[in-house]
Amino acid sequence: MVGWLAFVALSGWPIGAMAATDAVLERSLEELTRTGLVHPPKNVEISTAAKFPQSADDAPTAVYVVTAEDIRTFGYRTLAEILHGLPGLYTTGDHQYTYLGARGFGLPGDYNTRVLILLDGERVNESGYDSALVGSEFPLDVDLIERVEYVPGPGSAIYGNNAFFGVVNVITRRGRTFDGGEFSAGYGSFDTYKARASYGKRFDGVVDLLLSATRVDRDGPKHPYYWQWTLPEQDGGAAEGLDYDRTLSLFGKVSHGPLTLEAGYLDRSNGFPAVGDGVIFDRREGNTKDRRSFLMLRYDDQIAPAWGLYLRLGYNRYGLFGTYPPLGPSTPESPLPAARDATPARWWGGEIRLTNTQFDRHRLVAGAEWQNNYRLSVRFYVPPDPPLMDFSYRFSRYGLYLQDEIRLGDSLTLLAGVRHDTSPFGNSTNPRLGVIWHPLDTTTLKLLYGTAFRTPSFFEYWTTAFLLGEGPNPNLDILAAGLRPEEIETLQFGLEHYLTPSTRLAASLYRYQMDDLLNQGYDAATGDTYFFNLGQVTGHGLEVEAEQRFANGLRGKLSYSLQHSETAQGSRLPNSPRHMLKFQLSAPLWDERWRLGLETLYVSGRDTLAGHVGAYALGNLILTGDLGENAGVSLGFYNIGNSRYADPANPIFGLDAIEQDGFNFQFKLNLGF
Amino acid sequence: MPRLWLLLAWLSFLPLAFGGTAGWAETADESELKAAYIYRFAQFTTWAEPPSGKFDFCVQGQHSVGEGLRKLRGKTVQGAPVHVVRVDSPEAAKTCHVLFLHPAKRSELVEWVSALAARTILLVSDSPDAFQENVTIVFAVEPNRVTFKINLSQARASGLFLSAQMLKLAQEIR
Repeated sequence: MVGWLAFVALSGWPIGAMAATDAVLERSLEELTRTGLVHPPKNVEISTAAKFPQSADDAPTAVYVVTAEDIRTFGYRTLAEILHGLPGLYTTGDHQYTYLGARGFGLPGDYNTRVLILLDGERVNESGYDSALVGSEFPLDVDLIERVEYVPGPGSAIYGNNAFFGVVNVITRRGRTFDGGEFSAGYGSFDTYKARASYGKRFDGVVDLLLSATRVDRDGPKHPYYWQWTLPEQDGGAAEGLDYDRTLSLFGKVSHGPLTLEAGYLDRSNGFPAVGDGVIFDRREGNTKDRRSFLMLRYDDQIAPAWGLYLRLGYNRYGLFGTYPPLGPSTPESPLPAARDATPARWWGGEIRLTNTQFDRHRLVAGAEWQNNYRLSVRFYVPPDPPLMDFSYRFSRYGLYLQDEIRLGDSLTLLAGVRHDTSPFGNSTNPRLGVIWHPLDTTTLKLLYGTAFRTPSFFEYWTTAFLLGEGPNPNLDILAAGLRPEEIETLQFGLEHYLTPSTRLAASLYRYQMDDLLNQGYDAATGDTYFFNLGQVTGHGLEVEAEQRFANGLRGKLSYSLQHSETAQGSRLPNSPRHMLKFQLSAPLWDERWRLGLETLYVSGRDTLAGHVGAYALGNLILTGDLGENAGVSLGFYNIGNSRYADPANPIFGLDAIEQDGFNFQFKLNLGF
Repeated sequence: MPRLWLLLAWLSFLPLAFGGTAGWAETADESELKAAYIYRFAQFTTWAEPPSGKFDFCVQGQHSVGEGLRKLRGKTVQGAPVHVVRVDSPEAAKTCHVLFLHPAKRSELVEWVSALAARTILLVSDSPDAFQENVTIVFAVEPNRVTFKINLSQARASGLFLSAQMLKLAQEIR
């Protein structure tokens, strides 16, 4: 806090001397598009909170926006790094995947099923596990992101399943922002190479095209992560060259007026040195392949006076193909064969939405959404034996929603909505009511009440049903698992206030109650996982953010989150940090072509399933610069203090906590042509 | 934990070093920036009937963009001296070349647009509804930028020709 105050006090000196002048009228049109704002704007246009474009201060909750400029300034390499910088969100990694925690909730073993992640409006959460993971497994290279909108709070009243703690919408860049080809090459710690080739252009002022391919090859750290294995015969716990991560991602988008067609593909191969008790450590087989692809057609336009139509059709595929070192007793002399699994999922779906604005005080939105999961398969086998598990399943989900934004006066708005969802995994009706009041020009108050739900995922159903059934069963009745959807009821209060035009303060206070929490059980004797509806979990917390800008382009944001969640028995949840402090500073160096980004993240200690991991603080320092019209460089130093810290782990790893990366760097060069 | 706090304190104090030596990047107030944009739009647009005598920048509604535009006094656009006019009815706006709309409510926006859409007036607005309601140029505010969208069919309908430079820099074109 002292640092922040000092920053405000001392960095403020140039204000008087260098106040913005009429010079802005002399800037060219192109320069205007690159001119920063000296005051944090309150009317940032967002579209995720209520499914129509609106000013952020008219949304029922605080909406956090991260732009392409922020991604570059702070050297974000994954969606996880982008989201970790936001109030109330934190990420957890196990060197296989990266998981997202929100509002003090991020159970180890949970595949991020409680935050809905969208890519240009299309659901990223896949249908096999309901997961939308945020590390290198996210299907889009972050260099192609125009902005990320995060709307905390219950979103099921318009988004349905999984919009439990919040909704993240990742909006892709337009081809015109490249205006030609771009080649990007990067090298970083742990022998990480990155190469991206992109081409983007707007033709005849109307057709916008973007094509991009990215390849990232990371060999992984060489120092020992798995300090639980420190016997000499286990290489002292060092698993060299086994923590690799290789991805190929492709993205293409073409739009013409209200029509957009886009497609993406990700192929990821990830190595991990250990997976559970009793395995031979440091065997080479541990590998998971994730393949994700999607094709989406979107139409968004006004079809008649006061009537807007939005249509979206999407086709999606996801497949997880794993190879695991044997779970049974095995010795280097007589090794057991590795086990394999494959869980491919395919689905298509769509959404139709009508917006009516003929009544002056009302904006009505009605929509329907459906998803046909026509092929979900599970196969588990240990070659050359016949499969232990081999079955397929299909099901559909439907949702209907209605929302009205009611302007009660110049400064008072109500947002009321309700959505009904139905699927074989459970039905749910979720209302949401928001009140937005601007008592002063400088002050906005927001109150939001809503419920949200999450059905058990296909994965949660079948793993549980399989334990109840016997042997491989192609007709496995997964619904016999008898799981219920989990529900959450949230009340939140938000305040936004401008102390001065360049000092913005925002605070959110929330309280939630979850019922029928779907919890993972783990049988250490057999290595089986299953799920059950646990009782109630309650939580409350506070998210505060302060933002300050200066006329010379210096900007800073400081946020603090306090969160507490516990079960009905009064026990605290694992992987739930009580305090988080985040600080981001973006400073121009010399002139506007060079910029320094500085990010500090503090996360307090967390309980693991069996113990505790300590607090950590990370500092990242990123220097970016333009070398003329068509070349840019960035040099990023991450975890500059070389903090040694660990994240709570999924029990299937046989580890209670997994250590994270120490100091590392990345150098990147972008060339346009 | 003392090490963590030391690190945190160090990082928080680092900006002090920059307080004195920080560089300079162009910034502007949002309204000033919008006014500057409007000035450039006027220069990059061709009216079916070229302005003669004077060039009218009109402002509807309560918006500080008018103050920014007033700084244009003494300048010329396409050879005509700039006038800045506040208008309170579509009738009064008929002679405007550029009209910035900042209505208090949507029905007001619809009323103004339907009254003036057929005239050779460059309509500009920053209301989130404006793009749907066929305003020719609509500002969108980003956290650290102001961008604009162009409704090209509306521009044609109003007898306006927008330069390639504008079309190149527009965030979105319909």
